[in-house]
Amino acid sequence: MAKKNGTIVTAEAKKTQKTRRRVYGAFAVLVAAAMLLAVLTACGGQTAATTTQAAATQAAATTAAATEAATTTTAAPVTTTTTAAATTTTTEAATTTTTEAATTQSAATLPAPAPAADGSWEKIQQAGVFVLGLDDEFPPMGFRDEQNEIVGFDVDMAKAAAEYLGVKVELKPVIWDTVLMSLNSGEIDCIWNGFSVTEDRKKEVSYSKSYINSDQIVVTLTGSDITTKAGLAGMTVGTQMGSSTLDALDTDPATRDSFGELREYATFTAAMMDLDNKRLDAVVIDSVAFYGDFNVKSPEAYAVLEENFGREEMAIGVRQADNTWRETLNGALDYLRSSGKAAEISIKWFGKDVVIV
Amino acid sequence: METVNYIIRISPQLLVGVIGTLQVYFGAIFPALVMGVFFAIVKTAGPKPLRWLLNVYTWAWRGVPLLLQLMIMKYGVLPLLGGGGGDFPGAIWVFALNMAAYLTEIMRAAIGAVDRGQYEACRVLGIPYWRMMFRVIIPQSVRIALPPACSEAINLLKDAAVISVISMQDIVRVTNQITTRDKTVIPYLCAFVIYLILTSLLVKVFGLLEKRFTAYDA
Repeated sequence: MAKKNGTIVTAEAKKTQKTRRRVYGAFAVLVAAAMLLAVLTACGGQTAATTTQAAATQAAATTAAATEAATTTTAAPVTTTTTAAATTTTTEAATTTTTEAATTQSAATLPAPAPAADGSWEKIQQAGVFVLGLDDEFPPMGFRDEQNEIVGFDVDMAKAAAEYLGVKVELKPVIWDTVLMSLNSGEIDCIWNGFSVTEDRKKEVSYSKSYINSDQIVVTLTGSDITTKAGLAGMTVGTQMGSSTLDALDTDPATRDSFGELREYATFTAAMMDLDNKRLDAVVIDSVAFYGDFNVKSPEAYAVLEENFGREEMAIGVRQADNTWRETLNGALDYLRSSGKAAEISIKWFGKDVVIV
Repeated sequence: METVNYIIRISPQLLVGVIGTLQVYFGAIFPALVMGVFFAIVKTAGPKPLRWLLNVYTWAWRGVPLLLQLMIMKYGVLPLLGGGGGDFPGAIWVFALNMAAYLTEIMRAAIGAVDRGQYEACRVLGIPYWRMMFRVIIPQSVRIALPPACSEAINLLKDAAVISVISMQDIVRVTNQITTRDKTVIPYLCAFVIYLILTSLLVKVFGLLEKRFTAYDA
């Protein structure tokens, strides 16, 4: 009896030992995995690289600011040579770095009529690449194709512009809600993705020339009774949340308030899907998104009202300090127009030339 | 048939999303497990100031939405550490720390739930404290902690969708991208099935672990 008990106990003890070993094994694996990750994070995380990069960026930013100050001072004597006193007072404000920056600026050969040289274009030229921030869920301007590549009208335009400028373009998908933060933090060099020109945004970004118009149009299903803005009275109308379309509706409060209900969707796609399902009577939408995307997919399904809620322009957004970069982009847009590339790209995506540069 | 063809056509893109989600998941879960167990031990037996610190940690990390933590990491902490790069490791640490906070509390409760007799027996046998912790108490508390930890592991898998804040492609984001492009809801159904498959696998793994750890229960 005792012997039997004894054997059972030893067997159990062996088993427990085994489990213990297993438990320790598992712990060891976990610790190893964690350490591996930590090492990977440290090495692969570009923390070291980014610190230097950030330092460089910061330095560049300060010199850029200083250069701007310097150019205003150097620009003055060109027109009136006797304003030496005024010039010195300005230079007094800017410190010794100003003179340093001024010399570097004169060393760099700029295109003649550059306004307020700030080194922004030179920086991109040196890097050989500019980072384009976009929302990769915005057909036809920028979206993912079935190979998961980012494609679109703006993407083609940017690539053609980059080719002309002799630099590369890096497409960086960002969260659209915080796109201005991404720009001003230096994460991206420009916003080029159906970026509407609005007074509010002008406070935070500097715009290139406008290159495409976007009307705020009213779309219904084919065969709908609605044919005028007045016909929207009492109807259920959908649009995109936080879009410039909403701002456009604000310009016509009488019509907006006549709607039975105004529903805001996370995306135009969601709104259009509800229109397809007849849960909406009409959708107010960017003409660019409509003609470049929904209308291409199902040309027979929709009717567009002749009246609309106004026109806005789309342009490339850059940081306010980046003057030379903005002018360079303007030059590239002019080239895209004169070389016929813009028309070609426009026809590819919209079926006709809608570029307004 | 057309639908099947369509699903086959979009499957490579969906796979990109699955890989993204799994990257976040496996990047976060191992450090989270280690931190969770370690913090729980410290919280039950460590020195007072450390315990207080960990209280603050679990309080803050469990009390703030994951999305907000990621935003703070991306726009607050990372720029302080040096610029735009390194979003992914930063995000991984946010996920790991977030999950570890929950695991700490789960493990702490589990350690507390181990029978007092086990401690007393160890003391009687003269087993040193840390040996007792690692050889007797933790193995038993792991068994108790497994079911809630499984729920937490499933939560992490679903929470990984928040990674889209740093513009990474996870299952949900890829699904949205395909839907906006193709104007169809089929990708959503695909995502539904993918998530169910992934979580079923997780539940299975935890089920096996549970079986192993409860092998000697009466």
